[in-house]
Amino acid sequence: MSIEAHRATPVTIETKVQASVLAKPIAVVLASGARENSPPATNARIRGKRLTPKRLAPGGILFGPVVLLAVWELGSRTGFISPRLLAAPSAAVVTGFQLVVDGALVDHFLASAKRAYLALAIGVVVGVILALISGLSRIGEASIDGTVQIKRAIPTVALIPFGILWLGIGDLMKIAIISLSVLIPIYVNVHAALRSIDIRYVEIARAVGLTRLEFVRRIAIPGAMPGFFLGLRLAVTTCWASLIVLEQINTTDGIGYLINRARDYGQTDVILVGLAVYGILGLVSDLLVRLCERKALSYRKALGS
Amino acid sequence: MNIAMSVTQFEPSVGRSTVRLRNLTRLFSGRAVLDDINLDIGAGEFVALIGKSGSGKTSLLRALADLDEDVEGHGVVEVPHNRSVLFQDSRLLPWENLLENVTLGLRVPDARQRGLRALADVGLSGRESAWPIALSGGEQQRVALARSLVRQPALLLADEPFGALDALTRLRMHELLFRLVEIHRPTVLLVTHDIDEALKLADRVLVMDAGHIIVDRGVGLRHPRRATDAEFELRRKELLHALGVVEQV
Repeated sequence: MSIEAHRATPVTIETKVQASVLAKPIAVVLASGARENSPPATNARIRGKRLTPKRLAPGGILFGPVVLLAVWELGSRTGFISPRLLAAPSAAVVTGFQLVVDGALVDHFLASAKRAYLALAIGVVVGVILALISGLSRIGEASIDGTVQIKRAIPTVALIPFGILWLGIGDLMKIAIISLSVLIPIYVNVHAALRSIDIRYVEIARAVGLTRLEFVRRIAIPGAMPGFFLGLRLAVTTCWASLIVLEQINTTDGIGYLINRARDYGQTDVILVGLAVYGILGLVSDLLVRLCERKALSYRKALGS
Repeated sequence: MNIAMSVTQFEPSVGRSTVRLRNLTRLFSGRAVLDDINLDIGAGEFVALIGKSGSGKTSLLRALADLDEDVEGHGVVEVPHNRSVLFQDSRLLPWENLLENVTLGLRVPDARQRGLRALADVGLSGRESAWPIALSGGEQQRVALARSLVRQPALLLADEPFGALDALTRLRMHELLFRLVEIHRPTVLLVTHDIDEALKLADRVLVMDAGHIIVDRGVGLRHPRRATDAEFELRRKELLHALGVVEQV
């Protein structure tokens, strides 16, 4: 089909050019010939070989996950996958529904959410403040940037021993450690955005005589917003990541506790419910942040559409 | 050789030059891009500065605008405190609407009214809450012009402000600039590579070459000027000659 189109079109072009040469004076032919020919030529090229993939249909992103679930369910039903190692998706859905109905899942979820989002709030605020100090002053960058980069290289869970020694085994330690992990993506992205502010805007600020404070408020901070939202998208999932480990320590609630206890009892369906909570939460958080981003950065909307 | 340049800022008064340069030298990595420049520009004068690329014309404008930090050089630069810069690109802040862009850094109680009036002056009334991205290149440059003039500058520094526009838009912008300059009467230094643009708008033309001002002469043509007038063509030939261009045909 595509080969045919490819072959057919040049012929069409030639005929058209010839026709117009015969029909019109030379000067007009040159101009109109170009105009008449270009649409079919362009069409042929697009039909012949498309260089970029076509836009995905709405919901098309779910194709992979749905196929995976179907294969998995089939494997479980035929006894190919042992429920001792991995429960069927349908079994996990039933268990999840039961856990929601008896309120256990909601309680665990709320306990985890309280820790995660409290830590998220603290981490975001501290991360932004550090990035602003480091991004807008030399002494700030000298003192903060290296320190944060070193922290970035240390796995969050490796801080747990010190966390316990200094802050005990309660929620304070858990929230402190999660805050530290949330701070990193926020800091890194806001700092990078501040450092790459367009010099042209700095010059216009200088030309119209902005004060330093006005510069920060009207150019540096709005300019760093895309970086902030990128960091926030990473942070909303980071804040849950360490919980699974942290909720093994001195707790009787939380999704992490639920999963760990289920492992001890061999309840693979409950483990799946816990994982599903993480997955759904990550998806919803990301959508929420992107919604806020679209609202806050609406001045760019003409770019994407 | 890291001598700080003395930049004096004063409020312009009658009988004084708006711009005064004495022995201005600027070096970039050891090379003099401005070499011992002396220049006076009178109040209300419209001066065009032309020259080949690399001749130092933008460096001179940036020195007058005090845009560069930590530059090597010496000399005296006297410019009014109240000055505006118009760049080749509009440099509108994409996250601020047109009115906010126009009144950026404007510290007067009636900033809003003045901003609206400035937008109306450039033919964009009613668009004050639009985002810059919704505008065409020519419209964006008109907003930049409004931003320059809303602060009623004593000195307007324009660095090839129409260089990125199409020919038709550029002609319209010439008329607009000329009309607004007639009204606001700032002193203007227009850097351009377009000789016709310089001859059409300016009272006086400077030609730069290798960091020196090699030509400095009045245009002395009455407005409106047409590029086809005999005297206009004569002036163009002289300037082309000064630029080392031999006209073909």
